[in-house]
Amino acid sequence: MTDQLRKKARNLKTGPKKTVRIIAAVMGLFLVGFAVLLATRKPVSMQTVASPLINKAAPAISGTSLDGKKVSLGSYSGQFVLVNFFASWCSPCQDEEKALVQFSSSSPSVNVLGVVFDDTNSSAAGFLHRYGANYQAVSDPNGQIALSYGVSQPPQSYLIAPNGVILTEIIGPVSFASLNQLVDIAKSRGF
Amino acid sequence: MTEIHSENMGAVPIRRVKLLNWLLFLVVAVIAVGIAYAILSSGSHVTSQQRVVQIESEVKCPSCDGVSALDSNTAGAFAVRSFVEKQVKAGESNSQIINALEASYGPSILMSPPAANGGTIMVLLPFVFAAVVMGLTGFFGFRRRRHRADDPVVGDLVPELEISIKDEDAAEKGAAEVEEFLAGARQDEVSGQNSFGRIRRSWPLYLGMLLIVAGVGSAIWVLRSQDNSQKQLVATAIQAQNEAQTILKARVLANQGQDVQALQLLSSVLEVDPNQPVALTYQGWLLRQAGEKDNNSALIGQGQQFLEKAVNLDPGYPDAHVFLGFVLFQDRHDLNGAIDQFSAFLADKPSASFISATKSVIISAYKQAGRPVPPQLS
Repeated sequence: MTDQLRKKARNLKTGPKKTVRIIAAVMGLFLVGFAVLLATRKPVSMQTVASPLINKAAPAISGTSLDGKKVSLGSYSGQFVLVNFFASWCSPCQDEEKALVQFSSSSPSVNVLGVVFDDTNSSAAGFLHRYGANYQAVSDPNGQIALSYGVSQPPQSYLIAPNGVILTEIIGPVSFASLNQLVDIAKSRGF
Repeated sequence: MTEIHSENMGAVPIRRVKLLNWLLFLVVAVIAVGIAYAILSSGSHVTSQQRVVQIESEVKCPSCDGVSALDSNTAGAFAVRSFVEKQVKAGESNSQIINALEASYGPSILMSPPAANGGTIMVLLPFVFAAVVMGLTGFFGFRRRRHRADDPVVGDLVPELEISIKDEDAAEKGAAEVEEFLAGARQDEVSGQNSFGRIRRSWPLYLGMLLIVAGVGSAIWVLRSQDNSQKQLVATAIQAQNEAQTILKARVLANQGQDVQALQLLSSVLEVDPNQPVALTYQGWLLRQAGEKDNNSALIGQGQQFLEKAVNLDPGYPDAHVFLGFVLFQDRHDLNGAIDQFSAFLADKPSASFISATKSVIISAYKQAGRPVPPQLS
């Protein structure tokens, strides 16, 4: 008698069954939301992350140029500098070199500074000579300059503003048009 | 009488719950102490060399895919190792060294990068959800218990029955009272269903659901806005970088004979930037190749148009000149036009390997035109 009464009393309450249904609905809603989130999220391989160095002071560069002179980034203070990491064995570097040479000769307000990446000085010098490059290039025998700039593989370039701040990073070969565009944008922003 | 006593609700379960709570507390405490000890004791009694190895194993080789600096022999890995050793010798802590590398490369330099770009939200979301569900469950449980305590239907049912059953004569009367009460409660329940009271009682549930929906919506919005808030300078650089990488992929595919896929990639670049000279050049060259293969002069014509556009846009790009020269020489039999393009190609100082790959055709053109072969080709 009391068992039956108790059951009846429990059934009258909106008790466990309803709570379970509600929790199941919330879980379902959550899963749908989560699925939407995952479905609309870019795959990791497609995500492009800008260099953490952008808008920060450029790491120092100092060393010996390929023709034996002392070179430092500080000596270009007050001017735009395009730091270009390159190697003679790197095919995309060959693709971009002509554009770099053209850019350095046609843009007096921007200095190009090459940094040799995992290459011998003689090969790098020969490479620059072949393309008629007349800008300075510094050797980086232990790869520490490349490391301070977060370079993974050449070619990789950084546009540095006259105040020494890194404005942008270009991974892969540059083109004459895109370099000019970047400098124009930087100048229009008051750099 | 005895039966009812043995079913005295609440006494035994509460004792069990308390015991379980204490056990749970004990387990959590032991785990917390263990973790704290592990954290505090890590780092001590470790030699410099062990620290170097440990850091190198936590950092990726910059030019590799998923290989630690410790396990790689690339120049980038050597640079990382050299840096780590130097910093350890200089007395820097593990976290300082790793932070320095992260400052240059970002979190991608770490073998186990922290969740980024909304990843934190993705990681935290299930925990937030679990917390909400636990909160709701706890709330419902508390409410039910409170109702049981307050509600004579359940809370006072047993004592009432006990009292009633003590008096055998009053037993039936007690049961009848309970039945009557149940009927009243049933009526209340039915009327409650038709009122706003039920909705009012469920506000925490609706609030929880709203929070979850708002959380998911915010996460999506944050992820979207992160993409849109890139500065123009960075965006331009990234576009140039993506273009370069896509074109590179297309060229690799073309070299592997997968012309259709290569053309698709190049078209995607040209959709964004119709004046991209490298994409125009390779699009034109692949169309010309396809036209030649199928003996389709329309395709060859299209290819030529792309190449001419590329030459006009970037007269200093050697590849465009040489490919247009090929079209003019082999398809249009325009010797003078072809030689002009080949001369421009050679003046652009192409790579030695490119000259080597194309020189037989170029020499042939010069010879047919009766002109001296340029010294670069000999």
